[in-house]
Amino acid sequence: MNNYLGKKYKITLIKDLTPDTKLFKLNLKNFKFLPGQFVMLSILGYGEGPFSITSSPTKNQHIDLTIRKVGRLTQAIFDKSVGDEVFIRGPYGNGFPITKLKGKNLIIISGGCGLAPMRSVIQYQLDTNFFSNLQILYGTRTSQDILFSEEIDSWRNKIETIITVDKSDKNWQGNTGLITNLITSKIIQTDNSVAFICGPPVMYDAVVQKLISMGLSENHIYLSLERNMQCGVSICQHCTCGDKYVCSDGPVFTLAESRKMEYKKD
Amino acid sequence: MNYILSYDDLTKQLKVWLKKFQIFVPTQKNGDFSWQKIDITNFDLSPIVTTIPPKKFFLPDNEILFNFFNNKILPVKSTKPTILLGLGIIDLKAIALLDKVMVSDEYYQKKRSKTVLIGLGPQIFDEKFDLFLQNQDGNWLVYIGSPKGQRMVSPSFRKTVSDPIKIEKIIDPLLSNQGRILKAVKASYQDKIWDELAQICLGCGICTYVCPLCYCFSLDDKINLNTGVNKKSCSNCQGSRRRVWDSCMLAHFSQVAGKHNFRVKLRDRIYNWYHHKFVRFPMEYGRFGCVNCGRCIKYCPAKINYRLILEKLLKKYV
Repeated sequence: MNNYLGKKYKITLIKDLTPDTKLFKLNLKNFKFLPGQFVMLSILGYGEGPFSITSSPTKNQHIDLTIRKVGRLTQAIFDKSVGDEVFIRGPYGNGFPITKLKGKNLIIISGGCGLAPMRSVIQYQLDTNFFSNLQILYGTRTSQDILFSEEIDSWRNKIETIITVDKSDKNWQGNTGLITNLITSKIIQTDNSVAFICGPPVMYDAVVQKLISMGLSENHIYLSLERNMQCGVSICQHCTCGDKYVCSDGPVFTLAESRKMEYKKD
Repeated sequence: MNYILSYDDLTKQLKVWLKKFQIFVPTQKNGDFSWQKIDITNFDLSPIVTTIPPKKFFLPDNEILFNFFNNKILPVKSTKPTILLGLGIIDLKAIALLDKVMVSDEYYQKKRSKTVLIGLGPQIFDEKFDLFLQNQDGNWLVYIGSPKGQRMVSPSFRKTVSDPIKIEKIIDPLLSNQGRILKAVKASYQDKIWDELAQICLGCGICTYVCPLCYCFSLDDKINLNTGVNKKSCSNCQGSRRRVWDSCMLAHFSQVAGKHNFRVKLRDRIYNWYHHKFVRFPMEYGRFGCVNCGRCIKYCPAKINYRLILEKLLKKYV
C-alpha cells in the first residue's frame, strides 16, 4: 500500500561535488533496483521529490543520491548533516533495460548533472563487466561543474572517458567545445552499440541528430526524461506525456518511443 | 437472496444504523445539490445528482494524510463508518472505476473500506454496490450486492424472491463507439477544434472538480507557524502532509522546477483532458474515464459539451 511517505534512513556520508551539488549516501541495505530508477525522498515539512539513484545495485550496503540545490526541498536536504534521517520510498520507474543489452557496446553521453543517473550504470559496469565496451562522453559548462571529478580519474583506467567544457579556464587541460564535437566516427563506433543520453533538454536534439546520422537506430538510443512527479506511481497525472507515465513507463524511453509520445506523429 | 422493507421499517433501520454509522444522502436545498448528513425526521430518497460527486468521501479535496512532530509520524483519526444512501447507477459505475485506479492507495482504501454503498433507482445494471433500493408499490426492494451488504441485513428485512429490475444493456449511442472514439481523439491533436475551444474555455477547472472520474492530486507539506523550527534536527517541527485536488486544466499543472511548462497552451491542456478520458484511461483500465453523468456539461460556465466535441471528431477522423 502506498502511503506517500516511505521509511526513515540515515545519511552516512555527504560529499561536496560542485558549488551547487552534493552526494548523499544513505544506509539502505540490499535495496533492489535497476540503474535509471529513482526514489522519492521526503523531508517532513518541505515535501517530496524524485531523485535518481546514482549508485549501482551491486553496492548493497547503501544507495547514493546526487542532489542539486534548486529550491526549497533541495535546500532543506542541503541543511542536513551526517546522522540525520530522511524518508525514502521506491524504487520507481522502469530503469535502463540492462538485461536486454548484455555484451553491447555502451556509449554514455551526459551533460551537466545528467551524469548523476549514469554513475549507477558506470559503477555497475565496473563491478560486472556486463557490456563488452563502455565509453563516456561528458560535457559541462565549466570545469567547476564536473561531477565526481575524483572518481572519474579512477574510471579512466578501465573506461574510455572524454570530457569537454563549453568554457575553459586556466586550470583546464582537456577538450573545449560542445559535446556533439565528440560524436565522430573517430571516437564512436555504432556497430553493436547502444547509447544512453541524459542532460539538459537543449543537448538532446543535437546529440540525437548526430547519432542517427552515424547510423545508430532509434531503438538503440535511450533517453532519461523528466516531468513534474508527485505520486511516483502513475495516479496523480502530473508526469503524463501522451499515453505514457514518465514515472512508471519511463523515465527511460528509447528515442523511437519518445518520438511517438509527442502526439504529432501517429 | 433479496429483501423487502416498508418505508417505516427503513426509517427504523436507519435509526439503528445511526448509532454506529454516519449516513449521508443527496439533498436538494435552495437550488444546491449536495451530500448531507441525513435528517432522520425529514428526508426524501429520490435520485439526485449532486454537484460534487461521491469521490469526495474517498478522495477529499483537502486531506491530511498524516501529521508529524519532531520527525515522527502521528497518524490521523480514522474515518467513522459511513453509509452513502441514494447513489445512482452512474455514480456507482464511477466509484467502481475509481476503486481500480486507487487500488494501492492506503488513504483511499481506508475510507473506502469503511463505507457502505447503498444504490437507489428504478433499474439496476451490472454495477457494484453493497445494497440497492428499488421503490415498488410502497415498499423498498432491497438487493444485496456484496458480503458487506449482506452483513447490513437485520431481522426487519423480510425475504423475497423477486429479482431486481435490470436493464439489459445501457447503450449510450455515442460512448458505445469505444474504439472509434479512441482513434478519433488520438488522431486529432493538430485539429483546430482544440484552438477554438481554448478561445471559449476559461481554464477554470470546474469540469475536473465535478467529474467523478477526475482524480489528479498534488501533495504538499504544511508546517504550523507557532513553533521554532530547528532545520537540521527537525525538532519543534510540527505539521502535516496534505493531498489536495489538482487540475490538469490549470496552467501550472505540468510545470517543472526551472519554470519549464510542458503544457503551457490551454489548447494542449484541454486536449490532454480528452486524451486522458478517451485514450489513456481506456488503455489502462479497459473503459472510458467518463460515465456520462453530465456534470461537466451542466456546470461549465462556457457551456462546452464534450459530447458535441466527440461527435465532431468522429465525423472527421473515423
